[in-house]
Amino acid sequence: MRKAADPRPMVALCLALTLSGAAQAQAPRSATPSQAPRSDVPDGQWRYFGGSKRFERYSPLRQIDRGNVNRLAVAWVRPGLDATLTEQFPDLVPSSYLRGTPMMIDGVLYVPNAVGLIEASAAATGKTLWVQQPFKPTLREVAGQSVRGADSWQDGPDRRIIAVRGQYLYELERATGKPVRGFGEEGRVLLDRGTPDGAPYFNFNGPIVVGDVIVLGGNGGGRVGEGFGDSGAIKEAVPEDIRGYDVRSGRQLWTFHIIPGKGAPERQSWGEGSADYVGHMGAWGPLTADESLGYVYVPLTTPTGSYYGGHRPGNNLYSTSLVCLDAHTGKWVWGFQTVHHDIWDYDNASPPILGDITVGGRRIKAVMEANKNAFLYVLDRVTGKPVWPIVERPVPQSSVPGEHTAATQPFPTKPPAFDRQGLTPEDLIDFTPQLKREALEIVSHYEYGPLFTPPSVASPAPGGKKGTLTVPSSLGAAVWNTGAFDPQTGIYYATSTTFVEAIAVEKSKDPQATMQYQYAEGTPGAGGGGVITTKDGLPLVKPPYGRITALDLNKGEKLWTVANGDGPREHPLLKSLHLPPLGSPNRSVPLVTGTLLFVADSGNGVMGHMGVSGPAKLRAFDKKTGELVSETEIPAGATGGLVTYEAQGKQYIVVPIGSEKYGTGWVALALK
Amino acid sequence: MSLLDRIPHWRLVKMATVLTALSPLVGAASPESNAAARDAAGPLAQQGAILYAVKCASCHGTRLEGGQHAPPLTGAAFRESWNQKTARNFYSRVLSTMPVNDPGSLAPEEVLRITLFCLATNGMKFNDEPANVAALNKLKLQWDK
Repeated sequence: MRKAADPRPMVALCLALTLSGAAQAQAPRSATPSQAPRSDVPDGQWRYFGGSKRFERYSPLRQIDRGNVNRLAVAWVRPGLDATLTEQFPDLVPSSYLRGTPMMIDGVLYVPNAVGLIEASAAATGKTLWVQQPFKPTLREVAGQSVRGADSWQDGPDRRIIAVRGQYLYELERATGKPVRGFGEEGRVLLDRGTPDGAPYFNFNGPIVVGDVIVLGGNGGGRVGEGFGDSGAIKEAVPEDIRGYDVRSGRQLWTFHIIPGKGAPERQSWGEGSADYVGHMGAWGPLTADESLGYVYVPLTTPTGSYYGGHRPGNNLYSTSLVCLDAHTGKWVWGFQTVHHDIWDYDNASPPILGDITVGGRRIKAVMEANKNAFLYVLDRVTGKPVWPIVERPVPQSSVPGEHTAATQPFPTKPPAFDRQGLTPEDLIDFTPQLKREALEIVSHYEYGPLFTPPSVASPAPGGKKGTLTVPSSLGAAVWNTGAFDPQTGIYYATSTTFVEAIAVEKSKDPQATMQYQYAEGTPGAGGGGVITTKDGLPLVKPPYGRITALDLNKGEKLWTVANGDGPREHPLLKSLHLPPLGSPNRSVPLVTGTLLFVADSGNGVMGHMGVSGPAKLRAFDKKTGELVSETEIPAGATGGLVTYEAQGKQYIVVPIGSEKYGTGWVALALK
Repeated sequence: MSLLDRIPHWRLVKMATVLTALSPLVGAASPESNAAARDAAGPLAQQGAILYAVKCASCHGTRLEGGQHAPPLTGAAFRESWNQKTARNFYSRVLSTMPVNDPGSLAPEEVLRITLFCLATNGMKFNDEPANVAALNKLKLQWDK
């Protein structure tokens, strides 16, 4: 059934070019279009959960503007799980991480709910129109996790909603929410990949439809019982390949193998035969698409062994890369590796945002990929060539036995990094001499240095180092929430966070281990994502701890940076200093409109700790200057993307929210 | 097929390692709280420790300390989140959402055991260990501040 795509046209030339930071051009080709409206034509709707499939998180709407945004008020609130489900299944208690971000089409919101079932509601009132029913009326079927978004497709009167939930791809009739019976088996397709131990498929991003092809990434790829796969001592796993399905029938059309197949020159970037056994690398960030070109953009991540790569010598293509595929055929168009031989977990976890910029008088169709490492890689999305030079520079080398650190890494020359990179004593918190002394004492127990300082082995000797402090951390300066692009101005807005993380590796103790070293159990701060703070919980470095950075991509320059949120300014050790906002290190999603930039605090539903526990703020900034214009309280912090649209003549902003105290819901705001 | 038959061999080895680390039940907090946890742990909670090691520890940590992508299941933040709720609430959350990559795949009796293990680890004391899911309804979660 599966038809493998021809993996590599023109590979011989491409390997060399890709390794040096360039890529190979190939003539654009459109996916066969249906009659579906394009998602990238601004019309006051929100046709994909990133605004459009270009994922700009942008709307030209300007009913809510600088002059009236202080009159923004809650218009309606909708629970994250429709009451009909909780009544039917009393034991159904969802996670407070409501990822579901709506799309709005023709006055109706469609969104995965808190367990990933699609709900349709009236965009003006939030009232339920229909709820996707579980395939069987059992808790096994209804149990689930929220998914970031869904997609839609239409051909004349045939209108469908496409969703991924658990191990299945679903299609629903857009008008009723009932399964499209002719799709797969009774409306769904099993996405099982046939891994050796039957590791379940899962996908928190949802599908993207390009023309008549549904394209899917995935977040698994590992082994049964392995969780997210960032640690562990087993090198054998499965790559999370990209797949295409026929939107009408559900038939699988193609598979793109993210580790190049036998005979491809890129396979040489996997030493010691590691291409045969290494896995993961899944697209944790949403996929995006240029519907005119028929291309889909896939942000790929770290291979097996996020912090140790002794078993995979070489650059490891296409791990931690941005890959462009022809959505119709699944064929590779170009690829660009942002981090060679990744041992920092520096995933491309952000959506590859598409936008057109003008550089030196030349109009460029660009793609912008924010990496966890705080660089924004700006490429020509047709050719994969960097818009500004991306140069290879020497980086520190690992002392971990067996490790094969890449000698150089690609550094963008423009735009500048949007968050702190590397660590020096001058970077440490210094609000008081005591805090500075404490921070200096803490960092003296670790290795640290510039960006790409590698993980190290913790020494058991008295006074020995406990590992390496990395900045940005593997939690990421930028992840799924980062990035919005204003096509009016060519400005990219990065929301980012600053953490200092300890990464230590240790010799694998497990007798069944197949990796020589692994992430060390007991790494300091491991319970909080490895984050190292002062004994009173303050960050080790100077603020801001969460920030918004505006980058002018017509020039490749930074326009401004502002602190995003109050941060720890009310901390007992800082309160008397009357500090300005210090920025909160949370997962804030930006939304650009005609005049404003909206950013909400995230709720602690995000991974259980990445945000506020109580009521939160939706902030509006002047998008030109970064000036804070207004703050509006919402019942809990955001756990998904911000959305705006016009319904019945009124502009709404909808925010998915969640915290352990509040639960989950969507709150809609409008002018009162 | 028993539970152990379904566990890959390498996982069993890992599990044994985890259980050693958890000695006597968990190593999450002070020796005093370890002793309290051991005293609180009935046979179902002890079976829950094995299930936890297999199904949960890779994300939530071998000592329930949490990880990069998963919250701690012990400590102040955990207790604040669940204080004044019932054990059934916690059970239902696990049953509905975990494991994160295959929610709904745990049997109710497995979730019951994991629930009792997590609560015992957090110092909950049971006069009589709840023998079934229904018994969790009346079990209110509260910790002294």
